[in-house]
Amino acid sequence: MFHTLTSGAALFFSPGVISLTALGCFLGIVIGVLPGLGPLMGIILMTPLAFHLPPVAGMALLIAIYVGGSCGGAISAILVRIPGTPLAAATLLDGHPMHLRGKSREAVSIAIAASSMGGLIGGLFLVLLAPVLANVALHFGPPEYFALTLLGLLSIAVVSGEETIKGLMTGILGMLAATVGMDPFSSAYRFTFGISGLDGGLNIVSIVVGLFALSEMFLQICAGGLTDKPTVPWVRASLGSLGAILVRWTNLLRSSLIGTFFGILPGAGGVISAFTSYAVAKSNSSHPELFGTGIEDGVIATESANNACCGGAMIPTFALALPGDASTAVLMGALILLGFFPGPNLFEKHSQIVGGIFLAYIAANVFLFVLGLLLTPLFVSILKVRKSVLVPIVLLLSVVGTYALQSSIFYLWVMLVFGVVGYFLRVYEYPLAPIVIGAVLGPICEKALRRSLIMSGNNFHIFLQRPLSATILAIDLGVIAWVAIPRSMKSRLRGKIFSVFRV
Amino acid sequence: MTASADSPRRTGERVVAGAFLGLSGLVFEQAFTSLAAQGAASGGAMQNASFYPEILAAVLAILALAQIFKTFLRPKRAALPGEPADKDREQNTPSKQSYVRGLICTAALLGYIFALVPIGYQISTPLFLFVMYRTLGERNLIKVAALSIATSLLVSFVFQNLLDVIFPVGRLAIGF
Repeated sequence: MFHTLTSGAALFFSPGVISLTALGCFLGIVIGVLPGLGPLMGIILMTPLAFHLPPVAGMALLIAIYVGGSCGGAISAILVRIPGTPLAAATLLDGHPMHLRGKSREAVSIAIAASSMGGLIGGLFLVLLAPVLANVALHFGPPEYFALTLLGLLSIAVVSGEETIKGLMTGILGMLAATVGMDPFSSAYRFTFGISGLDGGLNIVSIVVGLFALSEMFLQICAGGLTDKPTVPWVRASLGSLGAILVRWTNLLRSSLIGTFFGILPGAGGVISAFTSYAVAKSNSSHPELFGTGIEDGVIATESANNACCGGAMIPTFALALPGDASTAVLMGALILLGFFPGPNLFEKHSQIVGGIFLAYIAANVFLFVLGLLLTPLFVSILKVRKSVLVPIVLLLSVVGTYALQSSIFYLWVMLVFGVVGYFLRVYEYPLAPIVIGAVLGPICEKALRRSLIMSGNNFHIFLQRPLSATILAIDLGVIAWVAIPRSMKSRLRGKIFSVFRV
Repeated sequence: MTASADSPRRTGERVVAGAFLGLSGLVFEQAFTSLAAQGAASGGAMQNASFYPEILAAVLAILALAQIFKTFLRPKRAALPGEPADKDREQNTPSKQSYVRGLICTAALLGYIFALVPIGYQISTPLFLFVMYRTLGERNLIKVAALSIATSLLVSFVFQNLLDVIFPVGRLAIGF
């Protein structure tokens, strides 16, 4: 594992890559602070830029945005009671009350420090576990990969929360979108309708930019309040926050472990990890009645968990090509666009790329601490930027970024179509994240399925004859059963799981 | 049918679910026509390019029908504490002015995409941004013009000079 890190050092430790990591972290925090954007939007908008950079540099930029964006939302949650990202919704519970009690400085500082520490703990697991998992996956063949990608696709049902059917529908939409173009086995053209622009398939960046960026901007435009300017106090962070969170090291460590665990689980994500961690911290506290009134432990629990989740989510993404959530699905898509396919072969043949990416993740969390504390007044002032200024800039970056991929106007039309589709899906409360997961995992699933059938002479028994594949398929059935369980029974089961964490 | 079953929202839900059903039908139609004509709609896993999309389309059709069915079955219930009633949801929908603003912005975006190549980036982009800023509520003309030009130039610098991306120069061949 340390060999991986050292082999990547030569690629990472260059002024360009380090600067891009710092820039990515800065942009990520800015994007995270602004309500309605979030790390996913930041990664999507910057992917066209990353496409033109060397692989480690491009991935460093995007991963740093992921890390910074996962923390930035806490600042707006604390100061104006509007989480910049859904990840910060749990931080609001104690963060905003701290602000109301005149402890804005402590709240913001602790949020940044806890995020950074949580991210580093998640990074430790990333460095230790990902190579081990990739080594196990070396024994995987097409049947195992089919079962594994099926697991990742079923996680869509978990990501979708209560709207399981809608989530599965949009997931299948993503999988179907990925079938457009030339079939890799028979070379037949699928669903191109005679349009030459579709012969190469639908570009994943066009899809995600349209679905997320354009639809969000359409919604913001229709929502109104575009010239509103929130009143925010002047806040400067303090280094003393590091001491404050280290004194509460049990909460920090436990919350980071919970975050890492949920990050590894496909479909779980930062929101679930933050709320779970908060609930566990409260139940393990000697003064649970103080949670919600504005205490440091509440902010530490949520922020360390949601950033540790980033490191955890990258473990299956890089080791197994199984993205944990929409953000890691887009990161995985970006890595593929840059010419590298995640999975065990990446660790075996391109360990220097993996090492460079891991170092970028660790550095991003260090930059998060340094930049986050030093530039807090700047990030707070970002909250004053009106949507009437922000929306056109996001639309411009969407158009220009998509065009820049291959200087193609056709991709812009694809982006626009998916923007309209995304808008109507959001109006009728269809989740969009499954589309990304479906579009990224769908081709892998199809190739694995068809290769397995070719190997077995078109006999489906191959999936049951191999122990690993059969085991993973059994887990898949377990996930299907969980999704099908009535809500009331799920709540009882969750209560029993939480009681296991009581010490 | 009850009034709740016929509400515009329910109708919209059915239309969206119906669109998914239509997509499923389109996949089968293509499998029976285009893919069959290419000899890729039958045979084993190697030759049959329609096998996987057909599985997806079948599952999608079942889910879409289930979703349509749900919209007819969902009973009207009293709002829970803290949950807005249907009437409140009607009040939270965008105003006519917001929709007009949305349509203008969409038209501006369409116009920008159409104009980007023939007119060029350096002219079409500031114009697009100017229209967007004004439509979204920025009133100071000089500030809006300055912001439009500055934003356009900054993005151009980043993409063209730092990333070596070539933007269209248009018929007037204006580029930096």
